Amino acid sequence: MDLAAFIESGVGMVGASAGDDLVPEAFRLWGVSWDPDGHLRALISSDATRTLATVKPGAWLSLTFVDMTMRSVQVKGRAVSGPELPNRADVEVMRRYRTDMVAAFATRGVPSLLLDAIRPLAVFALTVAVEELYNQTPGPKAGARFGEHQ
Amino acid sequence: MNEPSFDLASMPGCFDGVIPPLIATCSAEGVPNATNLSQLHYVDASHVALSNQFFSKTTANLADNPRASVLVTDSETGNTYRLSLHFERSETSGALFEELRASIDAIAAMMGATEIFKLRAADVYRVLDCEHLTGPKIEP
Repeated sequence: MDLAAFIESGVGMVGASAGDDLVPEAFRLWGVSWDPDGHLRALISSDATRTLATVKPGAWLSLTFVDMTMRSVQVKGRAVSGPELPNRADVEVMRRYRTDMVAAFATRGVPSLLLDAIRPLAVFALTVAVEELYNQTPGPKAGARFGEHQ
Repeated sequence: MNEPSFDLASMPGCFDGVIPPLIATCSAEGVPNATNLSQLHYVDASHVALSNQFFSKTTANLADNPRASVLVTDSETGNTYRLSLHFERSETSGALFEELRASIDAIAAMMGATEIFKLRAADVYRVLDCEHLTGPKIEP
């Protein structure tokens, strides 16, 4: 699967982190991009306060992408660094993602007003070194590993 | 037992499946897992249920670590909530199981995927906390 193309097609993006206490936190993503080193830069809702407070370099993260046909991919990887403020390129990624997402959800009758109500006031960025890819599409192959990344 | 500080019954739009919720769990080794859900189900004032269909990793994680986090959006108000959950039990028969199975069967029929969507169990969680995130803030 061409993950880069898939995740740029307006798919739903969700994720999870966990602190040293093993308490997980679910969060939504509002865009991702690949950096020059092949790492995934994820833009995470600022309401993910546990993630913001606890993720440090080396911490595991789970990011799941699903399209309107329920085709789904899960990425697991480790944080390269701690949370960062979004830069100008991130803002453009968010803007593009919002446009693509509104178009994708409109095919299911979900109004843009509802999506805008869900959007956070701010995001932070986490850079993730992808280590594992899993097929999450519902069905008998759900949970199967795609193979080593890169 | 203290009364919960949240009112799940006042959030029916969180339980209609219009906006897919998501669940996060964590393994004993500290590896989180994020999975989309078809629907969150109201059980009572302090419990919710999830339909367990394909949750092999989620189920494995909960066996070691019962804590979970669910993000759900009320389709009627746009309010989004993060629920902190503690897994209590799986039910494979009874009224709750049948209710969830009917819901899953309806979704499967709508998607033409009746062979794929099979309910394994109704997983019941105690709600430890309900945090209001985005959306129009409604003061009590």
